Amino acid sequence: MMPVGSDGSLRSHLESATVRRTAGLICSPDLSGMCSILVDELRTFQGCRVALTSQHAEHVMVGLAAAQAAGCEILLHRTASIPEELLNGWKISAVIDASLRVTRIAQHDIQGSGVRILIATSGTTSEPKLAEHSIEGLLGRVRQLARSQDRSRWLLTYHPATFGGLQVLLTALATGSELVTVTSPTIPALSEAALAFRPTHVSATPTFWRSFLLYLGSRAADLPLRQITLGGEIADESILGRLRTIYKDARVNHIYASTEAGALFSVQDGEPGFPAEWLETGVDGVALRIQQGVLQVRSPRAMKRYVNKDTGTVITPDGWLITGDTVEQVGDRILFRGREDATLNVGGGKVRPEEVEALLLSLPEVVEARVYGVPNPITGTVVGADIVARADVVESEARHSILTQARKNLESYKVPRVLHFVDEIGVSAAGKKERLR
Amino acid sequence: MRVTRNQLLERIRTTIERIAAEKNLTVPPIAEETVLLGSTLGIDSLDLAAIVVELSEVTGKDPFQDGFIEFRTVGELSDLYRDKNGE
Repeated sequence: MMPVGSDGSLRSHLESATVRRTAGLICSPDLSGMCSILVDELRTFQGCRVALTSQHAEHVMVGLAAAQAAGCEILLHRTASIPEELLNGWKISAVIDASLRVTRIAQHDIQGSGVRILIATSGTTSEPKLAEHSIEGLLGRVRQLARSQDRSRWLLTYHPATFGGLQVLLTALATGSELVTVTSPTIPALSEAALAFRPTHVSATPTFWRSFLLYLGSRAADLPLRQITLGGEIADESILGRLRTIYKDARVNHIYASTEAGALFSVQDGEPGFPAEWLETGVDGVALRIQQGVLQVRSPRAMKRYVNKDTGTVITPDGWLITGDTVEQVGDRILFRGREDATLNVGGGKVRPEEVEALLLSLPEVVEARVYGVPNPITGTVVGADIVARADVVESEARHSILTQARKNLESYKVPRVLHFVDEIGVSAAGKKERLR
Repeated sequence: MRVTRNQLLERIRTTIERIAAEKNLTVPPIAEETVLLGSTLGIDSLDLAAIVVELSEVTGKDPFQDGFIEFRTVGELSDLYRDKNGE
């Protein structure tokens, strides 16, 4: 039975919430208590934008509930501090820190219209984009799912301040399920937490699943999994088949979602791609069509907009969102083939080659750089780079220095794992760098 | 290029040591039984991806081209790149 919050608000759902962190159990009286204190503090910021910098899942839960109750817009950030210029640029009135303390920053008028959630997308060399979602939009699919689900125990494999993380967190909240989380989300930590707390539901990227199975080995079969969800990358037959074999009693499904498009649909039959008939019938309120090999969608759950960036180019004049994912019909299935643009998907993290190239070109050793994807059995793709180095540098030293700088300035999944020093980089007839697909 | 089992093991060792050094981790002794993604080494999926790329470059082989194969230890990974008709 699904416990229904008295008024359907996130705060009322907190009354039946449980979060299990490796160190101990955090139950609803504590969560509700934290929420009450936070609501009181946030009342003076009604209609304002507040930022949450805590990276703990239970704090994100409490923060969302408190923001909804106090009528604030809440920005979720994936690192523990926000640079001062961004606080100002993003018109943030207050920051909620890792102890759930509220610090006033400045009074800003955001002309707020209702309670919204902003997710700061990753981006280290450039200002992160702020993707705007409504709580209702995020809860839309969660509520549909909640009706059909028993109480369960979820393992949170995603960062809580990501689209995937929020889906899991809100689902656990809306269904009165327990959430298992770890302080530092490494494969060993998450695998050990899974062995210790035996989750029934796990949602993760195919890269996570492959690594999880590698770590667990024969112990994988001991987990009492009832529902297995894959998302964020193409779920291929190899990983789907492996999971079906190990977990014969579990439902294996993969979801198609993105920050921009929201949660679109879930494929429940455990097979790659989705049924071609959905192009005619639609699915879960989402209409689908293929234009020049690229999937376009019309969804009631699409992200509202980027608050600080122009997104005009991804919507067609007749209102379809261009996903950028190329698809192909094979028999009665539509299979995902990759990205139409040069965006790389490294273990679920999106990498624009231009961003990595810009960083490489800013280094003194580098004359020219081209970044591309290298297929990989673990993470789907890794970032590769061809480098034309300055004539007077020693290759081994340049390699070390370039990788050190890349590591310092880019998120881990954006760091080139393959570095080739070349004499020149091919230039196409149009004078552009040739981009390998 | 023909690569012996010992050369492969050595290559995996040096790669792990380099990755660990880049992350400022101290490297424990790496044996054939060492679990790659275990907590002892401190490497993550991306590091493991890099090791696999490097082994493919050294050996010119892609043991994963027909799908994913599971491996847990340093020894099991090196065996995937071994010449099938022995050394």
